[in-house]
Amino acid sequence: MKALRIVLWLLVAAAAIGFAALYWRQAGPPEPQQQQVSFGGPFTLVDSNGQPFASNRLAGRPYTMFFGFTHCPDVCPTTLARLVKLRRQMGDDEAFRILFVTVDPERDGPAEVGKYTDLFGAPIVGLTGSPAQIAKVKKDFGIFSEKVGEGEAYTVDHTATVLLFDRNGKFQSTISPEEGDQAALAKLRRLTSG
Amino acid sequence: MPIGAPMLKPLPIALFVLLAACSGQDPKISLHDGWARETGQSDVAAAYVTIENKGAADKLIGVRSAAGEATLHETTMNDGVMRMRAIDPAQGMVVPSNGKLALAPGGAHVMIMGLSQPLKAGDGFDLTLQFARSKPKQVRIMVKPAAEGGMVH
Repeated sequence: MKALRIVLWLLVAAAAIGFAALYWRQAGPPEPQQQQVSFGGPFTLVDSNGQPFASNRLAGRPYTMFFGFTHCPDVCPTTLARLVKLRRQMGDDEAFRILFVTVDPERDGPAEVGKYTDLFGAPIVGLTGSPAQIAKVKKDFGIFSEKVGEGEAYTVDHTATVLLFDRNGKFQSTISPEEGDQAALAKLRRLTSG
Repeated sequence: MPIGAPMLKPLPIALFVLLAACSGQDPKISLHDGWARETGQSDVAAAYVTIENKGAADKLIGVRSAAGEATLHETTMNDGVMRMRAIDPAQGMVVPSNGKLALAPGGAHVMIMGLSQPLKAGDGFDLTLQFARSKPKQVRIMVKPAAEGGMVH
């Protein structure tokens, strides 16, 4: 009787270890890899003409993605102006696309986004969407944003890192606002040479 | 704190002025290269200027402009997230002796909200900077095309 109880307990212990191992294999190591693969991914937003814009239209040319808002006076125009300038230095406005995605869809409709991107005198794809569409794309691309302040004059804290994708839509690198122009240019050259 | 309503806590500034006065030297402030980016539809703008000081230290404690409600702001980056905050006028910003304070893209700048009209390239407007020790000084802000000045601090 006692021997049987010991065997039964051993079986219970073995089962527990087995389940733990299975659980670890499922929930443990594979996760980071999965996240890497699914970073970004396909999206559908709305362009400055109010038409749906699906990410498969981007195939064949590298692109950079920057999230911001049109009432942003400092970092957003500085970043877009910089991307335009660096692309000019590469001597080709077709070298890569510049995507501007608003994190403030309540104020930035298609018209607002279009007028804003037109300011820079070079092709920039301005994108907006429903609050749900913007929330999804922010989540998929790891973008943080948060409204600050009350009433009409609120501002938005947000991730200001530029994301770089190759001609197959694969995430390749980032450019931080704190990075120098030379480092940024080197990354863009690598992006477009691949 | 509401925009355009500087609530001066007098002590730090008064202390600064007192201590600075002990040095027996006056600040010599001059303002250079005032500019802003054209804004399109937006009624918010950032203005930039370099404050040069060829004398004793001073503090920038306020801004005003007929173009809109002007306040001192600072952009900070933390883990890739950009945040913009008003600079407490009670603290102000030091203009070092025989040095410079640059209000430039990606750092401290003048934020102007409620622009009476959008800024267009080629336009200009006046901006007045207020200091703890020096008299208020005016600078002309030139409006540049949006694609210019895309540099970081």
